[in-house]
Amino acid sequence: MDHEFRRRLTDNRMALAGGVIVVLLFVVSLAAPWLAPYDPLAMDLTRILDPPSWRHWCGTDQLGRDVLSRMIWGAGISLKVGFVATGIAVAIGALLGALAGYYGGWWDAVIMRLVDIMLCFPTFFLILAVIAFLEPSIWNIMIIIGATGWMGIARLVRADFMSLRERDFVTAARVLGAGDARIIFRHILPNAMTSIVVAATLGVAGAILTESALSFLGIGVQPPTPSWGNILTAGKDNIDIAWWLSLYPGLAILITVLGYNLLGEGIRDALDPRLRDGR
Amino acid sequence: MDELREAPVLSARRICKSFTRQRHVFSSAPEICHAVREVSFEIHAGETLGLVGESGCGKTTLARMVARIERPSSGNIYYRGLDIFAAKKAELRPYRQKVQYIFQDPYASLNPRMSAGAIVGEPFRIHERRDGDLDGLLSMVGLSPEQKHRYPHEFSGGQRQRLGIARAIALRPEVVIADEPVSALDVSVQAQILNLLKDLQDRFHLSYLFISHDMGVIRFMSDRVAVMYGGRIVEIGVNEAIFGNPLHPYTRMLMDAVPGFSGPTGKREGEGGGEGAVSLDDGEKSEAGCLFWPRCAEVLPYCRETAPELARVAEGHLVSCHRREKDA
Repeated sequence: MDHEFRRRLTDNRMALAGGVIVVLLFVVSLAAPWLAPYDPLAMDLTRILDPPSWRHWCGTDQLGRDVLSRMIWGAGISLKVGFVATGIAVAIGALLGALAGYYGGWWDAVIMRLVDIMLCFPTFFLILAVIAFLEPSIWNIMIIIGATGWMGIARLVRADFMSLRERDFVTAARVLGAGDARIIFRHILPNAMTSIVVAATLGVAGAILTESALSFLGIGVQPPTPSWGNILTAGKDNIDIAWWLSLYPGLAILITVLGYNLLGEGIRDALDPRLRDGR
Repeated sequence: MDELREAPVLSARRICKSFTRQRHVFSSAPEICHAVREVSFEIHAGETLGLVGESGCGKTTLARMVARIERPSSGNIYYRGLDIFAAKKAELRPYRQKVQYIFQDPYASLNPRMSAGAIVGEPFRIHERRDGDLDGLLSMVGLSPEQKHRYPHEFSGGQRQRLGIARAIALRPEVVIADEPVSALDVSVQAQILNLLKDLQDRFHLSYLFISHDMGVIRFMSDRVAVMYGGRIVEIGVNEAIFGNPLHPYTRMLMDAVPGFSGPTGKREGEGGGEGAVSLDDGEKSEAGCLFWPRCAEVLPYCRETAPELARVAEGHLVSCHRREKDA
C-alpha cells in the first residue's frame, strides 16, 4: 500500500512539483547556516538598498543586510510556524471532532457550539488582540495561530466520523465486540486520515500566510530576526526605490503556499482508494 | 425434528421497533414509523430460519436487533436464556462470540484500509485468541492463504463476501445472521456462496437467521420460513408447509411474483394480488385492521376493522389471516 501510494503521488505531476517545493524548503531551512552567503544580521552601511547584483543576488535592505541570506534564514521560521501551528490545530480539531462525531448527543452539541463561537470571532483580529496582550514571541504566535485554526478540522473530522460510524465495517467490528478505542483508532481514524492530512497540509500554507501577515504588521517575528513577513514590511517602506525588497519575499511566500496546496491535493487524490483502480 | 424440542439457541419475544422522525422543526407531532411489530420467533441449533418479505418490511431492522446493533422499542431477545438487552457488558462476551452477522453489501462491510488477513483475523485479536488459525479460515471459505496481504478493493464481490463469511465464522459461532448475503452478487456467484454457507452449517452445526427477498433462495436455504409484511410475521412454518401449502394471501402473492414459481394455488401473475397489488403505499393508513387488506385478493369486510392474530393452523405452521381462521 505504501508503495502504491508513493507511485500514485509521484505520477501526479502537480503533486510532485508541490512535494519538490516543500522538500527544497526543508533542505534550505536546515542548511541555512551553510547556504546563506552572508550573516543575515550583518549590516553593511556602505551598501544600503543595493539592487540585485552578482554580489547580492537579491539585493540589500535599508540596513545593508543581504536579502537572500535573510530569506534563507526566514524559511526556517516560516516552516516552523507552519508546522507547529498546524500540529496544534490538528491535535485540537481532530480530538474534538472525533468526540463530537463518534459520541454525538451532548458531546456533539457542546463541541459544535464551541466551534460556532470560535468561528464568530474574526480570527485575525483575535490573534492581533491576543498578541497585543502577550509578548509577540515566535512560540506565542504558533500557539495562537494553532488555537484559532482548529475549527475547520474539527468540522471535517466530525463529519467523517459521523458517516464512518454508520458504515457496515464499523458495525461489523461492533458485532464482534470491539471496544470504542479499537473502533476509533483501527477502523474510523485510518479512513478519516485522508481529509485530516489534506486539511493539515493546506493548514500549513494558511499558517505561513498568517505568520507573514503578522510579521508584516510588526507583531509577528520581531526584528532583527528575519522572516518573510518582516522583510516585506521593509519592502513596503521602500517600494518606490527598492522593488527587490518586496518582490523576492513575496515570491517566496507565494511559491511555498502553492507548494503546500499542490502537495495537499496530491495526497488527497493518492490516498483515496476508490481512485486507485480507476486511473 | 428432534432438535425443535430442545431449548432454542436464540429467541425473540414480542419485539417492536418504531422510529420517530420530526417532520419539521416547527411541527410538534413527530411521524412514527413502526418498522417491526410484535415479532416472536425461535431459532434452534443447526437450523435455518428463513426470513422473507419485500423491501421495507422490517427484515433488516429485525436482524440488526438480533445482532444487538439496534435496541428494540419493546420486547426481549434471549441468547441461551440471556436477555441481551438487559445483560452487562461482561455477560455479553459469549454472545458477542457466538452470534455473528454477514452483511448484504460486501463492499461496505470490509474496512478498505485493512488487509484481508487483518479483517478476517480481527475477531481473534478482539477476543485474544492467539491460537486462531487464519490460513485455515481462509481456505475454509475458498480463498488462498497467500491472499491475506491483499486489500478489499483487490477482490471480486464474491471473494469479498467470502471474507465477510470467514470473519463471521472465525470464532466458531452458534448463530449467524445473514442479511441478504447474496443479493448484491452475480447470479453465477450466488449459488457458490449459498453452497458455502450450507457446507459451513453442516461442518459447524450453525444456526442461520437467513434473510432474503428471493423466494428461490429462501426455499433452497431454509428449514423453516417466516414471511414478513409491514413489520409483522404473517406466516411461519416449515419449508415444506410454506412452499407446499402457503396459506397467507401475501405468501401466495410472493410466490406468484416469481416467474415459473407459481405455488400450488394455481394462480398466475396478474391474478395474484388484484388491483394495485404492487403499490407499496397502500398499506400505510390501515392501522386498525389487517395490514395487508388494501392489497389482499381475498379481503373480507371485517379485515379492515380488526387485525388477525398469528394462529396455529397445523403443527408448526402459523398464519395471521381471518380467512384461514374461518377455514379452520
